[in-house]
Amino acid sequence: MAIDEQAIITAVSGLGIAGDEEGMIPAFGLYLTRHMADYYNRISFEAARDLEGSGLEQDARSVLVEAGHVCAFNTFGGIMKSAEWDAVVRPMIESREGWVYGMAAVVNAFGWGRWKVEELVPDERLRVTVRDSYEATGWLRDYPRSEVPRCYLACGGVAGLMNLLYVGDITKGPELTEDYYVQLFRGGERFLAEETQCIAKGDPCCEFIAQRGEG
Amino acid sequence: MADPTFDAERNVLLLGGQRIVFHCHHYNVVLQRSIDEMLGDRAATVQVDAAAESAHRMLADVLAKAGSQWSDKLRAAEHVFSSNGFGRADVSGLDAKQGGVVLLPTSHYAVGWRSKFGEAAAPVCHFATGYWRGAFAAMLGVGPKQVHAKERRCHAVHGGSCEIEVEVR
Repeated sequence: MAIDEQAIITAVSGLGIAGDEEGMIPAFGLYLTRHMADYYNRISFEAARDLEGSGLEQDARSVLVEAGHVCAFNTFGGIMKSAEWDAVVRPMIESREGWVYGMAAVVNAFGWGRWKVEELVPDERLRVTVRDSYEATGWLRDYPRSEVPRCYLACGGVAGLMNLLYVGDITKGPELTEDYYVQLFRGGERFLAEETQCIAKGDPCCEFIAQRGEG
Repeated sequence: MADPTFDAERNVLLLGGQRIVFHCHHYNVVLQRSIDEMLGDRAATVQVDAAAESAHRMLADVLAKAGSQWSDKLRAAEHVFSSNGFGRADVSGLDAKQGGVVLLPTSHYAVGWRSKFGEAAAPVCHFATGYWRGAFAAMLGVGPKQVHAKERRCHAVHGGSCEIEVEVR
């Protein structure tokens, strides 16, 4: 059975993920929020813009992308270890690479825009396009056309998919500890992603390429 | 009550005409700590302002459909806060004329911060502080800059509940 993205989106949307009587959303070993995209954009862009012209622009980008790595490790990792994944997605997976396609389908229920895996060379390279990225569309609404890409979270997320699958092995259900994070995202074998196109720059969509040790 | 709707054509979630995205506490508190480090003394203000303006923009639409009574608006703002996972808010101490205190027996950022980093040195609920500033302004029909809010007690620092003081400037 191939990955049925629509079935996955329907299933995830149907989970009824919402605050409990304590106003919290405990799911997949995490506390989730259904958060305001404007909030993330405003604080991230403000911090990035604050350092523009200082020579620290790339450092700012790295810090914001690093938050995306943390997101991927915990959220993607937590979901790929969950009973819901085992029930809905795993039966559709026919190969190791199916984990990437399956997780991209789940992401498409998060409100982040439309993720599409364009190319996956096992253990080597992942190319993903995103339409309606909340980061890029948020930038375009509030700021002039950007000279640089602005999808920090998505950039970290794309690299994180490869690190979970090919640096670590999420298929074996490892504990998602700080040590494991360091092993996956700090070692010489890690994948980093580059945002090669961004709507915020005037490109038709956002595109990310994850490869080892670049970005 | 207002809840996000999913636009399946674009894979976009909307609430009050504004985009909603799923994120976990790990990302939220790591991003917050990164912003704190990048912006230094300005960080808390930037985050509170961002939350106030985002909440105000969203709730202006939500509250317009919630009913004309103060209690209707208060209930709608509380629902948006709790149903989206930001925590439980006791708004019984919030008065339409004088403001007051929003009590948070649970707060996503405070619980998340403690869970990931341990005890905090200073209050961490910048988002919740801004949210209730923006919400109170939207309920009164004024701009978010006309309301002041401050977290005077935070679970991440002291344990117990968080307390956010809200007043018209």
